[in-house]
Amino acid sequence: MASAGSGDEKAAAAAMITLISSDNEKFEVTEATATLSQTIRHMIEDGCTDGGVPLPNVTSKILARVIEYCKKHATAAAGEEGSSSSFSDAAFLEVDRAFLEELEEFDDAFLEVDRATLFDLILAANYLDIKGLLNLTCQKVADSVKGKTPEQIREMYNIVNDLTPEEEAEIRRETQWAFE
Amino acid sequence: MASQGSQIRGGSGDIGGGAAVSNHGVLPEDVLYEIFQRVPARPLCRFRAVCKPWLSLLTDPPFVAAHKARRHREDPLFAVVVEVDSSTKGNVAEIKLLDTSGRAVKQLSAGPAWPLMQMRPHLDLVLLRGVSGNHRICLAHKALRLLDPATGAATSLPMPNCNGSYSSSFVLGRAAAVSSTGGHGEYKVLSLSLDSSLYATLSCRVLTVGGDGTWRTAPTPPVSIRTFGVVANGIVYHLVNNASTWLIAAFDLEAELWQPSLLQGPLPVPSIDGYAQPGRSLAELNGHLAAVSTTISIMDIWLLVDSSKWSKQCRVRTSSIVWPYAMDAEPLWVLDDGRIALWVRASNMRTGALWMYDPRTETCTKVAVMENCLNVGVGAYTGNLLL
Repeated sequence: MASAGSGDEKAAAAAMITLISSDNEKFEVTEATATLSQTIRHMIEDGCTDGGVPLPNVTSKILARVIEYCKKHATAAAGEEGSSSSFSDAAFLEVDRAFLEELEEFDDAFLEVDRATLFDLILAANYLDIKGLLNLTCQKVADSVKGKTPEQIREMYNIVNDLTPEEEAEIRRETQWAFE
Repeated sequence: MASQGSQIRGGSGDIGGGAAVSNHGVLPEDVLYEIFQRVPARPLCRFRAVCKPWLSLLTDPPFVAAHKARRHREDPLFAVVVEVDSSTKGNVAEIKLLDTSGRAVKQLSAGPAWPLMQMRPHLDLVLLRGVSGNHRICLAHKALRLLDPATGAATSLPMPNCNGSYSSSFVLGRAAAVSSTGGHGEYKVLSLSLDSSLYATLSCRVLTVGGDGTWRTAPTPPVSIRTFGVVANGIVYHLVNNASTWLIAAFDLEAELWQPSLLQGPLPVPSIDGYAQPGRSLAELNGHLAAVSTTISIMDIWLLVDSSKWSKQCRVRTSSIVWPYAMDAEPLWVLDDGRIALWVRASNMRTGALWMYDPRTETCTKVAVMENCLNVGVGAYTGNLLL
């Protein structure tokens, strides 16, 4: 990433890490991008990233998307640090706001994926421990299910109802207010 | 038997006929946990009926506690009180929690109908007040109660000694959490008692909910105030009596002190229908203090956005409420889409209705009508009903 080289006071930010997907594709990313993942951050701290970081749970297709997310948000995090330490000028706040809006638009567009991809992104975010991405993707699923009935949920997710009719009737009776 | 998570299928198995099989067909329980934490209480209660693994996760006490701690931003429920004929117990007061579409999602008993004087929700609790001990000694111990709508449990609060006072008021609020003073955001009740002129405050007392049960004496207000207090963000606000302008006295529930300076209300817009002085009142709206100016056809609403800055929220053309009764309207909530929920009570009748005003079209739509309403208060409940 070109912009990462600009801060010579933060030479470490320009260090590159190689991530290796389950199908053996290699991705070169800056340390700033990679460390949005707590899992990778810990690996870097433990000094076990030489020769690349194998991610046997993440396919190249998903890893490419995850990196796209991390690059965008790593820039955002760097911008935040810069502004809070220097100015609280209205003009800077304005820039911050515009950037936040851009970030929101990015997130919205990022979530325009099919359900299988969304679930794979959640699993990757969970495995790599990327808080922002996990929150974003889980919220997307939460929003998509909250208006559904149990029957619709079972159909959406191929879930077999293993409750007895008596058990189900009792649950419905206890939480009747949620069904009306 | 397989682990709980294995029954919960992922998305890839059920779409595209298996063409897009991913390396994971299943969401593990920790991921489901993360998703469910972001789902509001009502659908979560429904989802308990999906399958056994979901039931056990969604009724797990640590899960429920974590969900409650998240403070979901959901549409509020509106609490109104109706009198219900119960052949065994006489007439009882029932609190109905209405959602924004007007459905009663939950009913709660508020005890016998006849001694109930006041019902006011604040955040996730409801303060109930019966006939005061001054008038009916035998009911003194039942006079002040706190109801948790999630559990339906009511707890009695002790009454302060109101000797010599003519009238007293009670307001429930949650004190601001202030780390420097060790305040954790406790619920407190502020009680003001007035003399018979209704102008002089005889005493001002504070009780901490869940505390040692004693009423602490606080300073009396610096000016003559109306007793009907409105709570927002840990402050109880009261209109000042006889002020030619709009003045508000503010009591800080954490410091248990009156704020030294009076708060100036918003400047009312000149009434366009030529009527005299508009009516002024305070309300709690979306967790903020609202100043409400009312004429016969218009209700203007301002919200206090920081400690002294008012923002004009909206103008409600109450003349768009088409109802064959003389009525009083009060705002309950401003929804995300800009609509304003109003509770409208037919004057001198026991009929009330929930209306939604849409400022874009300047029209008002009735979403629920309730008969046998008790005129003891209405308000927004913003708690989490998950049990």
